[in-house]
Amino acid sequence: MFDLNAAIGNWRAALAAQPGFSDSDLDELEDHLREEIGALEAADLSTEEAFLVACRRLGKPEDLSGEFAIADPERRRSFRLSWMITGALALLFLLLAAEVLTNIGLGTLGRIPGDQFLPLNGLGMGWVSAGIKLAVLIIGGLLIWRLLATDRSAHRLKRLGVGTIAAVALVLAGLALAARIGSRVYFFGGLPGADMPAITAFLAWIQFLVLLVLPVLLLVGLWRLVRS
Amino acid sequence: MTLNRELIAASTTPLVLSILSRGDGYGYALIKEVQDLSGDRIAWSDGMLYPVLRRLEEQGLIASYWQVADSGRRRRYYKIEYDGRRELSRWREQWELVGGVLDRLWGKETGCST
Repeated sequence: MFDLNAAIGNWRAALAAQPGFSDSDLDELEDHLREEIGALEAADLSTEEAFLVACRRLGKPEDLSGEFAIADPERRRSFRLSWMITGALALLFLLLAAEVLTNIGLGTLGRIPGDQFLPLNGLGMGWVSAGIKLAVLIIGGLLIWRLLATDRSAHRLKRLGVGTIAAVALVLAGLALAARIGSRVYFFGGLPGADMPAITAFLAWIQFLVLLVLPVLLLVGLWRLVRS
Repeated sequence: MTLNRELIAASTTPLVLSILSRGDGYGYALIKEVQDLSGDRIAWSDGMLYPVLRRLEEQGLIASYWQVADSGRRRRYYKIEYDGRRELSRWREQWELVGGVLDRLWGKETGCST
């Protein structure tokens, strides 16, 4: 049994995932679609046929999006910038997560009493590190891809707006970098040597500042580029 | 016979302003009215109209408001503004000029002057 409301909901979600549409645009297009469906049903088409014909007459989501973008290019730019920030943030998170988990894994191995993990101080440690990082990047990448590559996610991003996404990205990046520092201190704390944790913490704070300043500069540059 | 794309694009604004000068309307009704008046020979693609309406609203020629329709759904209606009426009169002069010139040219060529 054809469910018209569900079909219209999917159609609307596909439109919402495209740049250029506001909620009021979607309301207006949905009203148009329903009106057209009603007229086609009155001409003896089944509800499903009427829906398909009405969708076709209204146009493909990407074509409609292009038309609306011509009328409001600023909205399309904001949408693209939101995706850029989200993508950059996702990449930063993946890289940080890979390093944090590697540090925790190696630090924990180093704390196990006895010398059965001695080979890990050399080549073995490098292989374990590379293995953990690769696993995190692949699994995390797939999870993030699955999470973001949906119409619903695109619509949510659009509703949040560039400013909110950028602010959230900065806060989350700060927290993630703090976790990175903590994990490095934990890792080096498990190694023999007197001042390793203190030196590592100092270096990590320097990196923290650099990594926090760079994304801000990058975002400002992107914003100026997009607006020019 | 259907109009070519360039002529449809060029005539969209004066058509929309002309229809709205007769009373407020909404997107679907505007499309249907043009279809009826032209005997289905001017076929706007449905999705094309709304960006045009956005642009006209941005230019201050028309304004929109939401109202609950008979169907119970919220519907966006458009009305022509003062600047829209002035713009329409300019469009009208230009189309009448072009139409008049073509009438005279074609009337002479075919020998059936108006």
